[in-house]
Amino acid sequence: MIDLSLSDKHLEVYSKLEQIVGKEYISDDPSIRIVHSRDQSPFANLKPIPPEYVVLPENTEQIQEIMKISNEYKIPVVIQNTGVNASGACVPEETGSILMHLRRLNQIIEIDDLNMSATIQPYVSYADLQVETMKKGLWLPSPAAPSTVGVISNMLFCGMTWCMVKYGYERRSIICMTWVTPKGEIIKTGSSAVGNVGKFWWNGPGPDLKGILTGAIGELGICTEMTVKLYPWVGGSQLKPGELAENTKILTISFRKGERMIKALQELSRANIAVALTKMPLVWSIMGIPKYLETSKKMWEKKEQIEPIMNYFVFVCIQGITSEKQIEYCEKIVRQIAKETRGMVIDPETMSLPLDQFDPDFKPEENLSEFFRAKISPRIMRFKGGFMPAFFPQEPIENALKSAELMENTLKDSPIYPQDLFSSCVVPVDMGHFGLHELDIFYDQNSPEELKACLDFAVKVQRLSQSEQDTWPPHSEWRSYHWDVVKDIPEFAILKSKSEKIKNLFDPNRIMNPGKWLK
Amino acid sequence: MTIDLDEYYKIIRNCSKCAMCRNMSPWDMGSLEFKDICPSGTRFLFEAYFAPGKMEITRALLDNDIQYSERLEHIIFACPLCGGCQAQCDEVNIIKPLDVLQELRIKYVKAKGPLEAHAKFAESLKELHNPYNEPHENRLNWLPKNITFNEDAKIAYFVGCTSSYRREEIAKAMVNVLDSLKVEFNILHPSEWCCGSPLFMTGQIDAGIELMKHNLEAIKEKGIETLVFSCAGCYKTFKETYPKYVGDLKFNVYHFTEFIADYFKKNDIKLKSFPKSITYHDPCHLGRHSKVYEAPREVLKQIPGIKFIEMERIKENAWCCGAGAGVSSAYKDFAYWTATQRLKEAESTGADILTTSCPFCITNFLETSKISKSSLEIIPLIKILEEVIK
Repeated sequence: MIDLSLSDKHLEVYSKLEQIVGKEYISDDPSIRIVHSRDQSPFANLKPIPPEYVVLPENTEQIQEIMKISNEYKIPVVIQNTGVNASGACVPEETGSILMHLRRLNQIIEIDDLNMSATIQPYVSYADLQVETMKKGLWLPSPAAPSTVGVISNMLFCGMTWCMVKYGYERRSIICMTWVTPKGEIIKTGSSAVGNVGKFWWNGPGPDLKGILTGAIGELGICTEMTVKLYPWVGGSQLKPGELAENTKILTISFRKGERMIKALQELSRANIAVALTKMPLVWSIMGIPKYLETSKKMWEKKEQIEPIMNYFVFVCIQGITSEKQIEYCEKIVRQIAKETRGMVIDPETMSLPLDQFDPDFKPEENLSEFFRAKISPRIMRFKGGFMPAFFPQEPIENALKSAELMENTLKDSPIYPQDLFSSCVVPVDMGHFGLHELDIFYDQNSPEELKACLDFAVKVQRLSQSEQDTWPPHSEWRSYHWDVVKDIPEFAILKSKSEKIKNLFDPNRIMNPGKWLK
Repeated sequence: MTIDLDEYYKIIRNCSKCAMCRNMSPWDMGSLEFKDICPSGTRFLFEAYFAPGKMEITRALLDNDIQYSERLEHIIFACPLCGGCQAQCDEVNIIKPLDVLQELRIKYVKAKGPLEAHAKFAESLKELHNPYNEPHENRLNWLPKNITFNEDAKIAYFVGCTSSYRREEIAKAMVNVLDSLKVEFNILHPSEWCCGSPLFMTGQIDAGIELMKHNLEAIKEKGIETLVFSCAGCYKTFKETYPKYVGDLKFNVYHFTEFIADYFKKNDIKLKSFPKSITYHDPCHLGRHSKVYEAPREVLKQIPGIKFIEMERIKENAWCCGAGAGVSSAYKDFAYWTATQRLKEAESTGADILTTSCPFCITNFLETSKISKSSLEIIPLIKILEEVIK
């Protein structure tokens, strides 16, 4: 049974919150609260805890007032935005919480097409923003997540995109922020901090505060408005499912050896020609699409046989941003690099993909179009019911093979679910300065054993990566359980101590989304 | 067979909460203004009103974590069961939220009984075979004097309650069109009873099954081989709901748009010009529930002079009119609010006329347009056909 009891001061607090948001926008009904007790992640599934109050503030001022109440009564506040791809970050860890849902802050405030930026509220998703900006020949690259993810929360969680080789991590696109601290104060960052000069510059006067505010999994306050960079878009304003955007081409290169693939990833990144670049197991292209469900099952059963021939695939997306000739030019370079690294560019018209043996009608472009507006992530979750990135290091690209080997070895020793893992993807970042490596693990949300095993495996593989090859274990979306992973490393003890000081400075009552970043 | 919630428990629990079901397909979105797909969640805002919330509530009820409450009743019934969520979920997952919600209503009614408003029309249905508390003998009052039926015809027109008692112009137009096209047809009256849709959609399943049995017997007795409908709700009930209880039907069912589209393909019909700009609303029962999207468009595009303009949310992504599944009777304001959103979208196309192929949608749009002072003319598609086929 999930505990839905109410605290002693419930009526008093409820009344004060109701005065702030209005009767229609607050509830303590069990049926409203229960839906916020868990999400699809193992974190929240193992121990669901509902909030005591659910409130829907309308604006920054109401959020400030709610924070004052929560400080007065020392009640934890959990923020939920779209709630997508948040892996337990938006559900309570303690009883008695206020769940603040940001659904009513859903406006695109401005699109500045001259200076290529958009100012948005939290509930604006990538799909929302892209729909409006693509009409103006601009876009913010899609997350490697459902396009229903909120832009602001993805930025603050350091979400990734398929286009990081060109545009970097999502957080690099933050220009200005309006931020309500846990104490209810307002912080503005970037050029918006100095009055009406405009929202165009991120390194506002003095230190760049956005660095502190991102990556804290909501523990340092609530961003109620953000100005983000936009980038040129030539793919047309209406995307079509299963088709590539206009002025766009995706080339698929197959390699027999991992070393050559790594060399190609580095060379392709350095050439600065790709909008999106990733090493991705080909199986990801098919997994989870409803019409390929049976095919996926067959592939799953033959994983051991098919994985070696499908592992070393690189997808390069090029666009004619300045002209159609740009595509021709970029393709020439891609083909040249493929030749030099002994990769084979797959021509879908004349060559068959390994997946054809399972489904001759398979069309890879059906999912590769997901580079631009994603549905694939929820499909992947569906394969068993839930998934989590069990291993998520950012590392030099040349480390990818070593990391993959480490994961394989760990899996071989693991008594749990090796059959439920497929090889990982590698996404080069910032013209190849480093890469992001991701290994996903799949589980059934109905099985506590599988959920626990996922967390155990994630800790184990990350601890090994840290101790055996100095790989940065999780990427910058640092979660509280990661402190356990690194607890024996002196440098991390220092980092944790400094983090605690920052937390105490911002949130002396420790009420803001507790338990997500720090323990 | 319908789904068994207990057996379905594991699937419900595996909802990934990806939120695809909150909006129309991200691939098809045309603007931020017209992107919502879920009237219930969009209007009442709490996550509990969206499909992932309702899945969690279903799980919680099955686990006895929560009990029935006034709010829970509202969450379960203030929803037109439009299936927008399921259409989106089918693209990415296997949760089937619409099917789950229908079962949830059955479970609720078994535990707590029907809502007062729903019990009211159930009573009328039991006694008078229609939900409008109208005498059964008046069911054919709309019939034009020039129309005669062929008692030996194998084709029958199933009129439905709304066209019989509230939107008589639709029933008249339907028989006039069939007559003009020289279709030999019959009707079931006096044996035609309500199809049962209002009961099936509000969890009153046993009473719905009684009506179904009666109608199927009446069709059998008349030797009907093809049944044609002017109501999307009746059509859906026969096509999708009845087979869940009795297996495949022994006769063919066609919505009039399918019937006419097919007729136009096989016959060279000269139609009068209709020089207006028109946009079309996909009724949920015809579109998402029965997967009939093209037939009404094919029919409209056959009419000379029409300038056909699509709204942003069409076919699988269509925004509901808001009236269905007992919402209009129990939560009138919500039904009007939902229709208002659709009227705004229709107006944004610049069309003169909003048309659709369901009398229930038409009724809600007409009532709402009076309140919202919409500039649109709202005309049933069958009326347009009546005018151009004459």
